[in-house]
Amino acid sequence: MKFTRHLAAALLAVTVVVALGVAWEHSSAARMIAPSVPAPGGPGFRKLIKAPSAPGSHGDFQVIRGRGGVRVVHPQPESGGLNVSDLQNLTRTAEIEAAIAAVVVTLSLIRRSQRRARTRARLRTAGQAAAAGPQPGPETAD
Amino acid sequence: MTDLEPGPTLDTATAVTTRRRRALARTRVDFWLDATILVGFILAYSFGFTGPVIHEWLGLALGLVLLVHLTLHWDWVVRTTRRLVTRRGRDRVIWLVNLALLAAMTLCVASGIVISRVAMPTLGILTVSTPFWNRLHILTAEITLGLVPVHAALRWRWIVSVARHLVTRRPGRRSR
Repeated sequence: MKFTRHLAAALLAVTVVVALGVAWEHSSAARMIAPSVPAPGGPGFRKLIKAPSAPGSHGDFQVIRGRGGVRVVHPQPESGGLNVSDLQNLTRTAEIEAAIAAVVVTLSLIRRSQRRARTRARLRTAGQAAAAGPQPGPETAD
Repeated sequence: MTDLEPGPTLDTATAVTTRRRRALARTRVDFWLDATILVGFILAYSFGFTGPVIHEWLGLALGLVLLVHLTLHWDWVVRTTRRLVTRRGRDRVIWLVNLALLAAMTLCVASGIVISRVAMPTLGILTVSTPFWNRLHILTAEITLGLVPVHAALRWRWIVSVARHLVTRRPGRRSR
């Protein structure tokens, strides 16, 4: 029950983000990332269409009429499978991830050691003050 | 009266043990799920290595696993958001990184669905991409690439602690 409630909340959060993305697409701010995006209300081109026939065979194509014209879509443009010859692509991604993580961990360790040094210095000062005992007060004339 | 004391004490001990076991099991689930997401994202980002078919199916699977990840940590989201004002600076940084990551990853998966050339047509849905969704996919993927290691590294002590526990656990012995 708790999981379902949390799942619903998570789905709502995700929906809000996606809705913001769609709103961004239809706003003039979309030009920030895609300068060629048509103005709102213009001949935009995005449409989800249920495929009439079962896709899967190579060579199948679908002609889609959108607001901006006609487009031919190949449902199965490429065959699957790992491209082992491009292993460098994978290792580069892993290296980037590792490098960023290493920087964050190093910064965290530096910050932690600084905090510890400050705490040690404070404790040392307090210990020295305690070891010195009560300081004699100013002499007063009787 | 003293004869009655062991009963409730044993019950309490059993309850504590059960709770502890559940917490440990949950920690293991969290750890392996997070590790799967990290490896999955690294693979999915390496488009040249995976090719479009694996890239798209992996991306869709990653979207579902992310939803589970967010669901499992929803308590943390609510708790931290409520105490955001009174929390320390580090917790605020973690919260902001996580929020940015949620937005970036969600938009990355959503834009990936819109520009899909293999997975969605196989499911019977044809999608036609626009330059906006294409560029949004690339942009959010790059932002995610930067934020994922930050997100993981900010919790490196938890990762090291759980990994050490899992590695040093004796085989055949259940942790209590």
